Amino acid sequence: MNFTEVFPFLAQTSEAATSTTNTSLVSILIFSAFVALTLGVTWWASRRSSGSDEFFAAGRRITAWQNGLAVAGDYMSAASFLGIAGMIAFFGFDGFLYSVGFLVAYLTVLLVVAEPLRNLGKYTMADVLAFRNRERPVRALASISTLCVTIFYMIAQMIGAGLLVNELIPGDHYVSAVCIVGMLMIVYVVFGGMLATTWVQIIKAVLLMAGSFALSIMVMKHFHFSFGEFFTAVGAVEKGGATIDFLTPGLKFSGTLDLISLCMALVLGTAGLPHILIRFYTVPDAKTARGSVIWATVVIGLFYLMTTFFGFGAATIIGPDNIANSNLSAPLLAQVLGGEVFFAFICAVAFATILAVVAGLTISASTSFAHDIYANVIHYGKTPAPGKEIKVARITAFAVAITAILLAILLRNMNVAFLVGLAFAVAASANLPVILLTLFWRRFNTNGAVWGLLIGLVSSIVLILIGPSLMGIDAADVAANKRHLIQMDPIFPLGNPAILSIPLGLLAAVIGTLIKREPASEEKFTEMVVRAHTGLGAEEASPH
Amino acid sequence: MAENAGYFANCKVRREIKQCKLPCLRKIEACYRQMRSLISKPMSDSEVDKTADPSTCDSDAPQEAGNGGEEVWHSIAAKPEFRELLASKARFIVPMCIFFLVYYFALPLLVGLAPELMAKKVWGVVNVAYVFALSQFFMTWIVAIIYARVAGRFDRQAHGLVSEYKS
Repeated sequence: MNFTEVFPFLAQTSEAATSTTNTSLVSILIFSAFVALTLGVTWWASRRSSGSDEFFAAGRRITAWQNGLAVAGDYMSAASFLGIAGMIAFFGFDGFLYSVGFLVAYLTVLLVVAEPLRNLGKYTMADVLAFRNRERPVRALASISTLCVTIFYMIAQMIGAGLLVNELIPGDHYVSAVCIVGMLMIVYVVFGGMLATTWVQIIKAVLLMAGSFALSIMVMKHFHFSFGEFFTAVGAVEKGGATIDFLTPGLKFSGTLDLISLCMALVLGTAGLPHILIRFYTVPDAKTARGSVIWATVVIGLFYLMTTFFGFGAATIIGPDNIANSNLSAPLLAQVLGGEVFFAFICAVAFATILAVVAGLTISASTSFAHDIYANVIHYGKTPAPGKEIKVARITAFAVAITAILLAILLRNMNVAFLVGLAFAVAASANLPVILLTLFWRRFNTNGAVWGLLIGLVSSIVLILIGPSLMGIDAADVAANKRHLIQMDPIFPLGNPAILSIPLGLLAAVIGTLIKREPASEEKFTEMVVRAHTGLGAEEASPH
Repeated sequence: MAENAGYFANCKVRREIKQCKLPCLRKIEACYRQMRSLISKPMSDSEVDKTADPSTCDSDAPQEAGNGGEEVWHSIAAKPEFRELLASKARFIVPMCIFFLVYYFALPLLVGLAPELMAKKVWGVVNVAYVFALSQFFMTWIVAIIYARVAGRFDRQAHGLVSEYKS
């Protein structure tokens, strides 16, 4: 007779304790390997010549499949991997709607935005908006919108990184995790520029796809590779003492308006996300840009298709009642199915995912500040000294990283899930309408662009502030990080503002245009159309 | 950069033919000379990069070419082939966009407004809603692949239009 038979909990606790240290060790090893590899890439990238095209656009020599993977790596964030898995594990079909929206969004990018953007611009989204409008006001506002989207998105990612590490390693490592992510993204961007960032994204995309594929195979193995068995289990998930069919819509969204608003933000927001758009400047021409969107669509589609397996897998194999933190559904599933080493691997993949996304965000923010605000607003009409733009971008990367670190530490206990939604809402309401009107409406002008950007940005932020994400009355026993910031009934009823803020942004842009004529902008429309559709005069790849 | 220089050289010649304004021509010529000297003179990589930095000559040049070469843009825009290119693009892209947006927004609309239909079982517990959601993936891939094929034709049309302006 041994002790553990009498006191099973003893065996459990000691086992758990040793396995935790083993797990964190394996996880740290895998993550260190990723960091070592990406730092190697950064070192290689930093040795290549350092012109502006190199730093901001990787010399425009990235190929279609490389950029496709990099777009996928930039896009599939912690919100996708951890967040959607958790959403499906808890709300079934309604969570899967995110997966669908995130993918279909690429048709907007492919059919409407990518090629004209590549033909007209140089480094940033604002290049296109300023093409036929007065540069200073348009660039300044476009850059502010870029910085807002970037910071919102980045804080959500960094808080995710901190929480993930805290779950993995015993003790409180939140601050150090956030700082490590911040430091690494500074190193990638400052030393390696766009070239290093691109390869960090590619490596991460491959890792994430491999991790998701392994996880999906394990789920199907659990169900003996029978879809019938898998879906039967999905049809009867135990949640809160009831058996629920997880394929039934409506477990999360009760109102049609809520649902449509979310779908609008997802499908229209992606084509206005600055960190995705600037990726199309890294390829030699519009044709390659198109090819890279198609590659991205394939990779991203496969990834979101797999969320079916690991999302519903977590719901059926573990059960939502046994998952304390919905964001950890995917790692927990890995633990149950593949043991500690696989758990560690998936955690390292999630951490790498966060790191790559914040690197992409940082370069987008610093490019926008250096190229739009510094070079073309502050030094408008003057030519800054050679290399100055890059220097400013490097300093901005520092500033952005420090700001994000501080905000992530400050907002630690807040429920920040709404921040990613806010980023998409701003992108869809401020950026996309103005991009579309610039490209397709001859009459559109500076005034319209300024109004559109301003109203789109302000309305999405205000509607989020007075919506149910931040306003609400909580019961006294609700945990601190789940409480609403403002203890009042929400003024705006929908969680996502897109259904109102997109029309507001569009309307403001149209009205702003109509009340003022700008012949210069209308005259340049012809040139813009010719350039956008023929690629004549577009930025070319630097010869190396 | 060599292609760039060729492009500007070409612009310069076109402008001379078209009796363009002189100051702008001189500016372009100066920039062109600068670039020529850069190319012909053997230089270390770093030097080339510094001088070719967009903040100096490189960034002004396309702008100047754009302003001075306004006739070029208008002459291309006036060609029937260009109008045909725009029209054929619109004929494809507009219906495609309408199709995918309608197909996509049908999902949340039907989920919200016709829950009974969406809850209908198709195969075991698999219901219409899930099959419809899944079909969105294939819809996206199919539209993307069709566009990739059609866009090859647009590329050829565009190439035919501008090949004479590129060296």
